[in-house]
Amino acid sequence: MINDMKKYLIILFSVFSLGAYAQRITVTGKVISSAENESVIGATVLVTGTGNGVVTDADGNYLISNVAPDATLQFSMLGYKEQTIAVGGRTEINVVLDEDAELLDEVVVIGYGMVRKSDLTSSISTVKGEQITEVTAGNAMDALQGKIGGVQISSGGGPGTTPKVLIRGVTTVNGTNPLYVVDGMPVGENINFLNSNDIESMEVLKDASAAAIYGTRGSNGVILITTRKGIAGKTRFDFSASAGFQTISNPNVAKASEYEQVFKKRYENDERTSIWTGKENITDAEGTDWWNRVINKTALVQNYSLGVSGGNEKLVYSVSLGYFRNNSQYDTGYWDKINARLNTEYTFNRYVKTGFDMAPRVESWDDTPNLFSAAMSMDPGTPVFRPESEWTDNVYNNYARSHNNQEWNPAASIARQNAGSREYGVIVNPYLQITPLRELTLRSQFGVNARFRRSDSFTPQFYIDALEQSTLSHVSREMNEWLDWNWTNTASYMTTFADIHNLNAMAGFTAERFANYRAKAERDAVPNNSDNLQEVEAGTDNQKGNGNSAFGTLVSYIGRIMYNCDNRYYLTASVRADGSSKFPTGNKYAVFPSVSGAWRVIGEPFMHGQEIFDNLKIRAGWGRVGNQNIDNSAYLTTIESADYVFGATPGRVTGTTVASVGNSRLKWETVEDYNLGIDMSLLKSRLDVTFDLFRKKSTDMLYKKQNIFATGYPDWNSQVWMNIGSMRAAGWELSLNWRDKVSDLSYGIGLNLSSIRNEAIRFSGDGPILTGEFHGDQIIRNEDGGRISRFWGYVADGLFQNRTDVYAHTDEHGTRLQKDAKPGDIRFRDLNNDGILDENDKTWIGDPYPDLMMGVNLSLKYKNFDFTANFYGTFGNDIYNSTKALYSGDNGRNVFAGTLQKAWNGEGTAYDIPRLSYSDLNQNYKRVSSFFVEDGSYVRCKLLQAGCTLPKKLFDGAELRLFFSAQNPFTVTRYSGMDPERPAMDGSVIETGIDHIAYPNPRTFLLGIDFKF
Amino acid sequence: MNKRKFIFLMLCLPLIAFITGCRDDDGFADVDGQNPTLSLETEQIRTAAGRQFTIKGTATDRDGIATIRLKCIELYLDKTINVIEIYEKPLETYALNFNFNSQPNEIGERFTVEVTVTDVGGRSVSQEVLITMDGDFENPSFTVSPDRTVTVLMKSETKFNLSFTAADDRALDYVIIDIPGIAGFDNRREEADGKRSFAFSEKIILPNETGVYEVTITAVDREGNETAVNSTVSVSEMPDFTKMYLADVATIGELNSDVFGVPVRIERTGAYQYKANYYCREAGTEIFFLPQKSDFSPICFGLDPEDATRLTDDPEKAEPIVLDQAGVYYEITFDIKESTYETGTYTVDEAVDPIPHAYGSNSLDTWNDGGTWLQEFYFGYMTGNPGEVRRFTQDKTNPHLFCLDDPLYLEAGTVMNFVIHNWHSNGWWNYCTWRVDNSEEPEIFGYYGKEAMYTNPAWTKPDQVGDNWAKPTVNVTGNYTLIFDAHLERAKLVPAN
Repeated sequence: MINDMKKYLIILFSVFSLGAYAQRITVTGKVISSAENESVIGATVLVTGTGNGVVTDADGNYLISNVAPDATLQFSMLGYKEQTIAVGGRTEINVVLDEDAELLDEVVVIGYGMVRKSDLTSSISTVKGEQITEVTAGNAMDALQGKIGGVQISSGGGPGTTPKVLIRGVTTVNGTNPLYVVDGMPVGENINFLNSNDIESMEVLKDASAAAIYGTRGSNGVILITTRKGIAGKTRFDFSASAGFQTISNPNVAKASEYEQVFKKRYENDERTSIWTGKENITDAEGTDWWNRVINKTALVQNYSLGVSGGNEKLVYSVSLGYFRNNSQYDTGYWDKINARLNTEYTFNRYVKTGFDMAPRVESWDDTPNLFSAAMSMDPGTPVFRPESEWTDNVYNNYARSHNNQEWNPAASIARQNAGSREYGVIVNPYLQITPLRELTLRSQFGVNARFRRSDSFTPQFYIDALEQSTLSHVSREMNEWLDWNWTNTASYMTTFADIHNLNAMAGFTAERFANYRAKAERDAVPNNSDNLQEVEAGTDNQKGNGNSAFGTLVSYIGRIMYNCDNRYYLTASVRADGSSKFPTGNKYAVFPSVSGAWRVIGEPFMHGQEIFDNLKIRAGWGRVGNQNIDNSAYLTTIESADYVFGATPGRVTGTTVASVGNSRLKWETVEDYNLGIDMSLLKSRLDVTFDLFRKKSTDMLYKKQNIFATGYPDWNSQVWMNIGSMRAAGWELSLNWRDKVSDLSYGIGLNLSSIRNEAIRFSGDGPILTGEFHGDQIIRNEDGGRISRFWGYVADGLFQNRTDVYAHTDEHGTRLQKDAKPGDIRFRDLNNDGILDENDKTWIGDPYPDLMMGVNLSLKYKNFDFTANFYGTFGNDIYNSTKALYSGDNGRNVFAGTLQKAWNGEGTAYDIPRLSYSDLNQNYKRVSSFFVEDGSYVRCKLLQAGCTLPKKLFDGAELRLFFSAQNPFTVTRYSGMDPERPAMDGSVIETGIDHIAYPNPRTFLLGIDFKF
Repeated sequence: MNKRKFIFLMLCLPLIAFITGCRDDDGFADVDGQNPTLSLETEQIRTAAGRQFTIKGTATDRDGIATIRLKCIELYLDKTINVIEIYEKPLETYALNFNFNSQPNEIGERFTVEVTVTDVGGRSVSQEVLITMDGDFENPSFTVSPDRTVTVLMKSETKFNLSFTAADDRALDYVIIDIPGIAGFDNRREEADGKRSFAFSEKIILPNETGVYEVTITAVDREGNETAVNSTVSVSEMPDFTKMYLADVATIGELNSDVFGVPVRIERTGAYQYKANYYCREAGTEIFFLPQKSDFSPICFGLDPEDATRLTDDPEKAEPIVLDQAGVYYEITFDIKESTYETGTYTVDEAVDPIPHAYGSNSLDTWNDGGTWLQEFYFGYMTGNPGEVRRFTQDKTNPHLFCLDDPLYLEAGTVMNFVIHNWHSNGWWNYCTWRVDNSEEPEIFGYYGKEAMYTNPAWTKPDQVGDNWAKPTVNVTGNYTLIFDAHLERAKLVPAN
């Protein structure tokens, strides 16, 4: 019976086989990866020995027709081991590709090209799009915080806020933001306009050997952004939506009754009669909770994105539409953007391919006021409005004046707030690529980045008090147009000879032009505050108009050679020659070379057979990059209009004056960078380790130096740009990533640490740069040879607890160092023991830059459930917490709740917060001192996200994931201010770390869905 | 490293730790190991509350002095002089010279300060200094004294009432009155018997002929500290006084209570002729005219009781001129040679002052640019800059009259240094200013409007100030009320009730 059956089957098989041979068949199937059990997108499926081939679609599926039943199919994908499978007459073949540990799995975008990660010789970090969209934020850089070592990203709250990004420290004072390049087109220093959902990946070029190809603008690092492209196959829809709310902590200031007590106590302690205005013995219930009156408990944030992609062998496309909106915590202030993107690519034949990307957008925003300080300082005994009996037709007059201080009514300020902008922009980025030879690719890309912005503002006429009023209304409109273009032409040649010598050479030419056209018109005294009259033409007085045009151009020649021998010894050299309109004749051009090498130790014969390392590579690089972040006209002497006062009866006459003094010898600022790194993969590629040491130093740093007065220019405009400064940044980065899969549980843990030390070798030679104003003094001192932005002040040595303490604080002859001190005041140290407390007793009291930065990233996936957690922290950084002045009640300001108990009120009652004093003769709160300096170290949970993917069968094969996110849900810190992160964002790199009570990073809670079909 | 070497190293480590741990923390070795010596200049110091005393002496120690501690719990003194920290090394000899201020309100009489010298080896020696609060360091003062020049009119009996009051913070011993040429006043000594205040008043009969007498009064306290005042008394016919004052108080004490002088300086309009302008706040106010500031004697012009239409110069006869209308300005003209006078009144509305804007109105041209930013206009007492002005309150009845609501607490010896100025948010000067420029006439507050645009156009008096601020000194500690009349350009700084 069995034998009969066999015969039957053989005959049947033969018949079908013959039929198939004669007919040719169509084979379908799916390609998945062995490691992640996920679809492999874009894998090539080729009938061996023919030109017949397809690529897998977004689900990893393929369909290939006209296949001989006895043919062999070849499945290949960069990063995976190639597989060859005999069809054997089958019409469905599913394939599992194994990762190729030797080749690694990533393709990395580099400047003007793309390489396998294994071929990299420089320091480049990659973040995938899905890691970016984990975080719902207006700026994609917010999502990078803690994910890349050596990159310090400091954010602040508020709609449309742009985070401060420092890549491997600071080597200049002229702008520190990196250069952003989207799909090969440099777009400047801000990517607020970009929809995070459009991003396929971001590559951060950290060292000069990677960034030197961007020459003049590479000194702060370069971030390459690749947007999502279409993949041949069936049309795929992706829809994602998330919505939720943001909230910020209430700083908990005193209510009315405590405020009154503190107010009077300040006078009482100074034996003065208090000048209290308003109801005596006011109760909390009778007062106003200004924080809750002004700051909303929640602010809406929402993000929607719809993408469609697909195509065939000829044409692939990706279309997306996104909407993002973030409200402020005030009743006014928001930012929203509508993004669209069309990315297409058409392959004419094996020689010619073209692409056309277009990304229009509309951004709108109403300015967000900064009233946190006002809400905290306002007299809580003051009502929001005057009594109704005093109201007038002008609603802005009906707000109450603060009874006991000079703070402007924040509720009134919000009511008057009326400024906003709308911006229309489009990036068009077509290219043509010709491949005349298999080894040679010619590519020309012409990108245009056009923006148009209209900004309107209106300040109403109002009168609340003589010190809180605007006698004239003011209306203005400003129009700005930016039109930048970039033409990039490259030729790439890639070949292998003698089997082991791999060469990849590229040469190119780029030209760029940047233009800005601006006009502004404004007038005062609009007849009334009506909405209908908020037009410049309605103003009746003080008409002003101004406008200008600014242009910049850059022309560059680029070249790069990448060579490796037997995938073991790598050498890369690049050069860029830049010519910029920002520099004078003779100095317009500069050359930025780089060279880097790598030894892929794992490829050596002696490593064969060992089981510890799956990858081991040592890298070293050197390069020079430049910086041209200065005024377009920095080398020119310019004039501007100015008013003079002439005559016996002085009158104003409009004339001109020298606006700036030029320097005809101005040249590029150059940064020289060294990098040494090691990449390791261990334990069956479950653990990846990367360690880098780096050092970079700027020379000829551009700096505005005070001109010698003998030239006759007045001091306010005689500063001249010169190449005189030098700064140095050095540090290390360590990145550890573990990923594994245990049964249905796959998980990953990433840790990155970095430490950077920034030093100023020389500024201008004019002496220390003092900055950060504080009661007529300066908080920050930058001096040649020292670290930057450090706090310089007196050392607060606790509080005088009694009269004996006060009288003991003398020099050796009994002369009191603080003549006005009383018990409860701060004791300042006489560091030089000269018996005088003066500038010579100041010392370094804080450093705002962290000693260590840390990121921890966790991911878990179990069956249909996933969980992500990201943490970011800095250690060793100090903050000058000027908000501590809210314990003083100076100028009648409100105070933190509990001040009555926290402030010194008798021996042993307090050791930090000094006594309440009206006159503060001891200058507890007016002197720059360590009293204000706090440890700003923190660890912040950036993201907690839990998701659940519903079974596909419920939605006919479609994938629906629901998730909940909490962004910034908690922070571990000893810092007493509102947000330990925000001060790092504010100010320039030489004036940072001061807490000015700016918009803190909010906690954000979101619900969202991802729907794919 | 083999096992034996390792064990040897492990054994050595605690020994190294022990040796290093036993070293003197500061690393100073003894030289002779003896106690320090301390030689103080005195064992007792006499001082007084609120005064500084100095402890001097010499400390020596061959090992090196580390610290010197001065301690007196009752005086809240506990100071350690860290010699090593100051000089970055121990000293073999240290010259102690330490000052300490006792508190002005110190009530104790005897205190003991313990001075302890400690050397680097921790050896110490102590000595005590007795501080007693019985020292007398202040010179006596005169709260009432004759003017520097006094004119006495020749009469049938020419007399001069010599009045003065001397005071001392501790104890007056005696007063010497010397008037050469006058019998009984040749260094006449009056015993004060250790009192803190001594008042003298005596009528002196002078020769009935023109002459000049130099009066010297010297007050001496128990410690021998002395203060003298001088006065020149001229006997003459009625002179043509260059200065004349209006007095609206009844006693000599009140007459001398104003820092700027209660007697209001009035205008001399011609030979022997004067004009007084005065704001009468209350009906029934009584006034006199005086050629001297500090006393009603020897000349006081008032109504002649025998003929109320005429004036008399005799303080014993003169009756006050009574102003019977409240809330108006009086203008009184008189001739001391003819002994005639006339009174008239005008309303506060008719009175003019130089104030450029309505007080408290929103009219301060902040940037002096024609008014792009107007703020509230007000003025007041200013000692620092126009950003910090103690605001005057305008009188409800008389818009030219201003005062500080809260009195000024002034200590004796305080040198007044202020102007009356408008408030400006950014501290800009010279928009609307009154100030005293003549120490001899501190009651006159001249107006200084920087430009005509900052002056009431109806005000035609020229600016009458220079560049100097007069700085009268306060004699008696207390609360003072500042009253300013912008029409009269007069200010009073008188004790608050």
